[in-house]
Amino acid sequence: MRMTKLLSMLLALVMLLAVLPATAENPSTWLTDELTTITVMRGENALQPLKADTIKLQTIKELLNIELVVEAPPSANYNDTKTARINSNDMPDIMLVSTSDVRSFARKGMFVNLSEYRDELPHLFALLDADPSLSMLTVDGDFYSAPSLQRLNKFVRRSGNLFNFRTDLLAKYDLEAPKTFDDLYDAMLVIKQNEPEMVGLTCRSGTRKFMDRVSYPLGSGSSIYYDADKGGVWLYGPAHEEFKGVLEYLNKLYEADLLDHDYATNTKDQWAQKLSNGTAMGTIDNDGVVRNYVAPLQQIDPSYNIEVLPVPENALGEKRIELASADWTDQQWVIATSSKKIELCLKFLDWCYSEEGAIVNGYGKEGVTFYFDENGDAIVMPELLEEYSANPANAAYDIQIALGVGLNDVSPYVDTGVQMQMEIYLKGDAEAQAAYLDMVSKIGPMEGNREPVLAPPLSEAQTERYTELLLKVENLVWQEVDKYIKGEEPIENWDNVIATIKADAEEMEEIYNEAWNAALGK
Amino acid sequence: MTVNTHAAKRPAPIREGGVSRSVFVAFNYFLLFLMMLVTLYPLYLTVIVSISNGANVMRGEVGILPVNVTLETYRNIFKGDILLYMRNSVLYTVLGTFVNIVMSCLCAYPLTRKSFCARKFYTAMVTVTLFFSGGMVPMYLAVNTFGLMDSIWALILPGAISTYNMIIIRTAFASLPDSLIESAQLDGANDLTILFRIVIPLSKATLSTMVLFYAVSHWNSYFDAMLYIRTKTKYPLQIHLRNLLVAGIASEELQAAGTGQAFAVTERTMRAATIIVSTLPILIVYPFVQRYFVSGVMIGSVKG
Repeated sequence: MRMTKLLSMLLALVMLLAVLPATAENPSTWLTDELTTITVMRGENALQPLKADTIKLQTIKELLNIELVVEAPPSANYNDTKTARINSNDMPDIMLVSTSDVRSFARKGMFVNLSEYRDELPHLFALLDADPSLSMLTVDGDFYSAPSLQRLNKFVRRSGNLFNFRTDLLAKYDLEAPKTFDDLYDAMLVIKQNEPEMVGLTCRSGTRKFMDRVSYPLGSGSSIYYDADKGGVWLYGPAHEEFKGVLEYLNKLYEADLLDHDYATNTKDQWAQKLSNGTAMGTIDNDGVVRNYVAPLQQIDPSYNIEVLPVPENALGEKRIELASADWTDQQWVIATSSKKIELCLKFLDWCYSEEGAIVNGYGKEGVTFYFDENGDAIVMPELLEEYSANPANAAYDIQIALGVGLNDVSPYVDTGVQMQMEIYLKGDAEAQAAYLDMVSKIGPMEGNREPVLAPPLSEAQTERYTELLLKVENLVWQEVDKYIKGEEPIENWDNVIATIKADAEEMEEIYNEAWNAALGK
Repeated sequence: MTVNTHAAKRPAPIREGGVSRSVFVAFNYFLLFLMMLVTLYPLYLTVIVSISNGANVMRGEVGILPVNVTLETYRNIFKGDILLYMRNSVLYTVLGTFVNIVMSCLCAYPLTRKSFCARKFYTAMVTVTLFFSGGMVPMYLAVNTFGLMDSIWALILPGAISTYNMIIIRTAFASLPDSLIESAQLDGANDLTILFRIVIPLSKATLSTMVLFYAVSHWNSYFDAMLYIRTKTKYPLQIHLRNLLVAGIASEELQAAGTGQAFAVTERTMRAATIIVSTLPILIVYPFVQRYFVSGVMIGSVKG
């Protein structure tokens, strides 16, 4: 009997001890007392399949007491999946959408108005307020979405449609890097005289894409664009005199056989072929993509090289080229109004924009996947870099797959440190790593580089009218452009095109400038 | 003197031999050979691109023979869960085709029976679906409402009958003599017995063709799976391959690593290998059903 009593007391003690940790105070970092699931949907990049058991997701669970369930339909058709889910009001708690989705569906009440919860989103609004240009992402003055922003780390690499040229050819013929577009013409002429089989400047994906890339550096724009050099206004490029200068210059290149004669029809494969087999002198395109063709080119001759050159000055005395945005403003995170956990989603979203959130989403768990160096920078554990570098072509993705981090995961405040550190690691010895870092670090601050400007938010009526005008004007413009580049029409005749589209172009510019000023509160 | 009256009636013998005929035959063969080349070369090129080194393909050096043969592209495709996706695809194709054939036959048979009074009405109703469909969102809502989301049935039940294929089957069934069915009825057979023991066995050629049509469409389909399947382990092969291809291109644009590594695998070799992997199983099936194929699809095309 005594024994039984003792045993019961012992059991009661065990039960009490078992209950104790549960009744202890929850960790202060928890966003909810009860383990709660939040469903997030984003497109999955095939090169970085998302796993359900990454160290990042475990860290979020431990830190926030939130179980993140990520639905990741293939990004190839994410648009269709997203549209079906939004239209049938069968949305996950949080999802990744585009700017046009926000503009289409926010007014229909599908997404939570984040501006109404400004006080509950201090980290997010601190970032949004710090960059006034982000106000272009608002709908009727309110933020319904949180854009994917870049958290700057010491390895940030900028890129854009830059001026890539065969620097080995310049050296071979003792030519200086062209300072102006006229110098460029002269330099290419010398190369062409010595290497007549070369095609000069090449491009891909047709006239329109080509003009999008070359019009701005040459002093105009291929469609509606923001021109800081002309007083900070939105202009419809082809309706202005400067566009004639663009066409004139390209015609000059074309006549001298310094512009690829297949410029209007080149596919990406043909463009890549010309860059990687040494027949093209240069291209204005994404420097990161172009760099991919250096290795195949150097297999033919190790001395071959394509590098980003300083921006040449155009005929108007301007040096300008547009960088790709440092942020990913077309990838925006929204909370569904149909969610039953809006409060928690708001807390979670805000946490993602905090320093802690960015580091966890970017690097995983401190002490396990990364450490902070003496400057406070997050550094990936060297053994992880070693482990995932086995397949160099995909190593930058492989490590991000394993950790569950980076732009292609759930990471609204993106820190690309892991990717960059792997890229640097893959360069091999310290000298090669330093050379690579030196090369990429020069790109961002290059003279003439301009930050891209976000288009202003238009009202429904403005969107309708603008689209109507744009269709009308573009149909006319793009039927004509090739004729002028190829010299089938004398350049003076472009004045007739300008005269035809002038009124419509002015109205389009007015719509844009009005919306721009309104968004900036002018 | 005897006159050979038959000789006059006999058609003139075809002159064999002769230079003109030889030239004609040679020209014919040459032309056919050229046509064969034109038809086969794209397939051949796809095969050699898929096994060549990416850098050589990129430089445009692969045209007649593969250069620096490597299986790296296939290794890339076959890493990960591809066998699981293949198994899923086979399951969806086999089960889906079975359901398609059963449902199509069950729909086609009554529409051929003259004793079925609402035959014309139902035929008209079925034909309407050839021209009009609900669209993506209503279909999504329907699948969601019926609780089929994220299940294999979401890929099988909404498309259980293809109207076009069902009409071909109906035409084949209708071409069987009525007397055959009447005599079966006289022997006491009911409609199910007639369908399964007389009509279906006699329509093997058509049904084999329909099996092929349905199987190919299941094998190639990705859109439904993309909309209705949320669990990755249930994805069919085509989703995986498509994602591998399209997203690979997009990511190169968005986030070009530009690591300067000499690569054996490029977008083009990947594209080629993807085409081979996704079409090979169907190419293997074709020869087995080919003998039924022409006779099956011609059913009802010629009267009399």
